[in-house]
Amino acid sequence: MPAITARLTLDERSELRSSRRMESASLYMAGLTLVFVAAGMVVSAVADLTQGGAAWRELLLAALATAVPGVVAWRTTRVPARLTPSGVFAAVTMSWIAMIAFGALPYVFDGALPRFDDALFESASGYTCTGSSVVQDIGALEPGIAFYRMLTQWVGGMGVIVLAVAVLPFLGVGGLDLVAAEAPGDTTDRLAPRVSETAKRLWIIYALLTVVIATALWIAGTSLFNAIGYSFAIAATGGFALSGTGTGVYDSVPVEVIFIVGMLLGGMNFTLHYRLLRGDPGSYWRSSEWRAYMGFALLASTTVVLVNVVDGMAVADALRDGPFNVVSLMTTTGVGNLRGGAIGDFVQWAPAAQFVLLAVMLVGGMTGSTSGGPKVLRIVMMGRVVRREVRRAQHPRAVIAVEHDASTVPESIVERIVGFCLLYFLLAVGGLLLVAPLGDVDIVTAVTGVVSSLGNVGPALGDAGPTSTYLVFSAPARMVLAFLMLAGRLELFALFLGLATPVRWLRRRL
Amino acid sequence: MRPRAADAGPDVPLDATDRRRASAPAVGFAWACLISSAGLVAATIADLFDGARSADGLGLCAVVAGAIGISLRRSVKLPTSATAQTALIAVATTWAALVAISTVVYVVTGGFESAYDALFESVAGYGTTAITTLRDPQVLSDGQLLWRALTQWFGGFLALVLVVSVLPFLGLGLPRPVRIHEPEGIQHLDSARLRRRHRRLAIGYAALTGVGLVLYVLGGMSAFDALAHALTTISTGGFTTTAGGFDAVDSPLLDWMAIGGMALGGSALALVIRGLRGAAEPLLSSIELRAYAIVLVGGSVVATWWTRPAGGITLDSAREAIFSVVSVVSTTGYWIVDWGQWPAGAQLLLLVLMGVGAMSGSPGGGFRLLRALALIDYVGRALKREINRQGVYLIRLGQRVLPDDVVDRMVGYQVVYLALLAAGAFALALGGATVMTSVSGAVSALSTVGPALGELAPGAPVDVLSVWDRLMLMVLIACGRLEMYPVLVAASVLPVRFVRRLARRG
Repeated sequence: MPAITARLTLDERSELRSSRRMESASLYMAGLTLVFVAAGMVVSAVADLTQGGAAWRELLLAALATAVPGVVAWRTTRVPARLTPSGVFAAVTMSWIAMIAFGALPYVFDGALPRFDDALFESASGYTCTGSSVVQDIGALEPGIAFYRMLTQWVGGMGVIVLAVAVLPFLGVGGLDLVAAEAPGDTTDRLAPRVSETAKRLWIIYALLTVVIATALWIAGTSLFNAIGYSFAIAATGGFALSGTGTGVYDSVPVEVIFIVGMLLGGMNFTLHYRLLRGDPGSYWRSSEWRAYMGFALLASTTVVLVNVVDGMAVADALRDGPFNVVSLMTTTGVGNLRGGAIGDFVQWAPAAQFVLLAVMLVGGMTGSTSGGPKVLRIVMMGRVVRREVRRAQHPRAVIAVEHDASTVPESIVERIVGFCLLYFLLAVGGLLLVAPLGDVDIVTAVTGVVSSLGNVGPALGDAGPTSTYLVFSAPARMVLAFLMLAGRLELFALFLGLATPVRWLRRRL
Repeated sequence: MRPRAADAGPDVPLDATDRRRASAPAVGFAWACLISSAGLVAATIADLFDGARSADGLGLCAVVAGAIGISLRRSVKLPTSATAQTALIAVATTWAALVAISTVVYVVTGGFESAYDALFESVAGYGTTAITTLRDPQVLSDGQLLWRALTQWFGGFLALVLVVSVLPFLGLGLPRPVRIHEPEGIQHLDSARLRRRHRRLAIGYAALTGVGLVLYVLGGMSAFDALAHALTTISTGGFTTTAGGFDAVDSPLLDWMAIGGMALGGSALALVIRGLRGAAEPLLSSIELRAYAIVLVGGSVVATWWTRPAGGITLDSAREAIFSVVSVVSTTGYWIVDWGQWPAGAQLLLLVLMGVGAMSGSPGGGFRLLRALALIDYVGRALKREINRQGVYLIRLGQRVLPDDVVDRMVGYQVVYLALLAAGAFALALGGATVMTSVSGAVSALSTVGPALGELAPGAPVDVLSVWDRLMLMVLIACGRLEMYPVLVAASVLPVRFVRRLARRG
C-alpha cells in the first residue's frame, strides 16, 4: 500500500517513525477530522459576530469541546507504516462518526435543538450532504448556527470527494476504476502523480465552484450571507435551506437557473471540471456517463413537465418547477422551491410525476461528484447487465462481455457494481423494515424517506415532502435514517467494512 | 434414434416417412387446445349440475378446441431438439395461446363486461394471480367458475413444469447441476424421460389437489366450492367463487386448512411429490425448505404481534395475520382481512414477503427464497472482496457450493427482476396509479400474488385502475409467471421477425 502511506504520513514520516506514539490510523484520522470540524465552528462564530448574532460564544465553546479531544487523538497517535484496506475503511468510518457526533454540539449548546438525538440527526444530515432537517423554524436560528449548518454540508462534500477520489480508487472500491478506464491516458488517479496532489486539486476546483456559485447568487440579488450559505449547499449537493420555503422566498427565475446549473455541476464528476480548467471542455461530452447523466436529467424533466401539464398545472409553473425539482432530487441536493401556496410542493403532483422524482433519487449523480445515490454509471452498467442477461437466455453458452465506451469491463468490476447495487437494495429493504414499524408514518413516507436518506437526497414524498420536516418520523426511526445517510455517503462498502473492523478487534480481545 | 437438426425450423422435413411439420410453437398451440378442451369438458359437466346456465357455450368451446387441437396435433410435431431461444419463445406462445383460448371462452359464455375484462381474467387465471375483474364472481355460472379455477390450476402446473424441467436445461432458474446437453444450449424437447417426469408430476399435483378437495369438503364446503378452492389453493392461484375473497368462506377451520394448503403450494412441490414417492431426502435436506419454514413462522409471529388488537392477541387476530403472511409468501393471494388497514410496518412486511415469494420448485412465484439466500451470500462476498482482492470466496447453499457460472446467472436473474420491477412500477405510475399502488402492484403482479397495497388492497376491484394500468399488470403477471425470460426473449425477438417477414413480402 505505498500510495496511502505516502499520503497520510509523507510530511511527518520521520517524526512519526521515531516517535513512540500509539499506532492507530482510526484515532489519528478521527482526531484530524475533529480539528477541521472545530475550525468550521470557529468560522461560524466569526460569521455570527459579523451578522450580530448571539450564538458565537456557544460556537466557540463547541469548537473548544471538539478541538481538545481532536488534538489529543491526533497528536498522540500515528498512522502505521503499513495500512491494510480494512484499516483504511475503519479510519474513514471512525472519522465520520466522530465528525457527526461532535458536529452536533453547536445545536445542543445553542439550544436550537436541545435534544442530543435531534442535533445528531441534523449533524448527520449536514455532513452527509443529505439536507433533511428537524429544525421547525429555520428563520429563527441564530445566524452563526444557520451558517454552521450550511457549512457542515460543504465540509461533508469535500470529505466525500477526498474519500471517493483520493482513497477509494486506490482501493478500487465502487465504480471509480471505470472512470479511469473510460478515458485512457489522462485518468482520474493520474490527475496528478500523487494521490494527495489529486485530492488537493479537487479541493481547489470545489472551492472555485463554490465561489462562482456564491458570486452568481449574489449578483442575482440574494444577500451575501445567503449567497455563501446556499453556495455551500449547492456545490456539496447538500440541500439545507436558509428558509422554510427554500429558494421560494426569492421567487426569481435567475436564482432558480443558478441553482439548477450549480446543482448539475455539483453532481458531475469533478475530474471533468478539472479538465475544463485545463482547457479541454470537450471532455464533458466525451464522457458517456456525463451524456447519460444529462440525458436522464433531461428525460426526467420533460416527463415531469408533460405529466404536470396534462394534470392541469399552469405551463409556466410546470416549466419552472419540473426541471428544478428533478435536478434537485437527481443530484441528491433536495432544496425546495416553494413559491407560495401549493406551487412547488411536489407531494401534490400527479402520481406519475412523483414517481419520476422517486426514480431520479434512485439514480443519483455521477461518480466522483459530491452527490449521493447509486450513481449514474452504476445504473447504466446495471442496464447493460440486464441486456446481457436477456441475450444470455437466448444463447446460454455464449460468452458475452459487458462493454463500456467500446472497451470490455472486467468481470470483477461488473461483480462489484452488481454487488453494490444489490447491497443498496438490501439495505433499503432492511431500513424500511425498521423505519416502517418504528416511524409512526404512512408507507409512502417510510419508503421514500428511506430511499431519500440512503441516497443523501433530503426531502421525500408523502408526509416528509418539501413543506415538512423529518419530525414526522419518530425519534428512533430518525436514528435509523441517520445511519442510512452515513451508509449512503460512505458508499456502503466503506461503512460496513469500517464497522466490521472494530467488531473483529473487540471479538479478538474478549 | 431419430435424426436431429440443429435448428429445426417449421419447414424442415426431418424424416422421409414422417410428413408432420416440426414446430415447437405449433405443438404448444395444439397442447393448449387439448388442455383447454379437457378443462372445458369438466366445466361443462359441472355446469349441467347448475341448471346448465352456460353449458352450451362451454360445450361448444370444448368441441371446437378439441377439434383444432387434435387435427393440429396430427400435422405437427416437436422438433427433436431446439435452441434455447426457440424453446423460450415456444413457452411464451403456448402460454399466450392458453390465455387467448380462455378469453374466447369467457366472451362466448358471457358474464364479463368487455372482452378486455375477459382477457384480464384469463391472464390472471393462467398467471395464478388472485386479481379479478369481477366485483362478484357469482354472476358467472358454476361451469364458468370451475373453468376460471381450472385456468389457475393449469397455470400452476405449467409453471411447475417450466421451473422443474424447461428452465434448468437452459441454464436458467434453479441452481441445481445445470444440464446443458449440447454445446449450443440445444435441448431435447421430446425425450421419454422428460415425459415420464411430467406425468409423475401431474399425477402428484392432481393427487394433492384431491386431498385438498376432500379436506375442504370435510371442513364444511359444498363439493363444488371445495373443488374450485382446492384447484386454486395448490396452484397458489387465489381465485375464489364469491365476492369477499376467502373471508366469505367464514369458517376458522377452513381458514386453517387453507393456510396448510397454501403453505404446501408454495413449497417445492416437485420435491414434495418426489418425497411422497419415497425419496424424501432431497426435500428434507433442502436448505430452502428450512428458510421457507423460518420465513413463514417468523413472518407470522411478527405480523401477529404488529397487528394485535388493543385488547391483545386473540386467536382470530393471529389467524388473520398468519393467513395473510402464508398467502403472500406462497403467492396465493387469498385474503380474509383487508391488510390495507394494518399499521404501516405490517403492510411493508407483507410487501417484502410478497416480493421474496415462495420456494423455487413450487407453482408459487416471486423472487424465490433460494435466490434471496444466494443474494445475501453474494453481497457478503462482494464485501469480503474489498478487504482481500485476491480472495476466493465460494457461494454456498447448505452443503453445496454453487459454481461461479451458476451464481453469475442467478445474480443476473436478480438484476433483471429488479429492473423489471422498477420499470413495471413506473409504467403503472404513468397510468395514474398512486406511488403506493404502483410499487406494491408491480411487486404483487410480478410475484403472481394479486392483492397489493394502496388502491389494490384486498377486495378492491381491478377496475379502480386505468385501462393502461391493467395492461401493464397483465404484462407483469405474464413476466412473473413465466420466469421473465420467455416473455423478454419473445418480446425482443418476435417483433423483429415479424417486421422482417413483412419486409420480405413487401
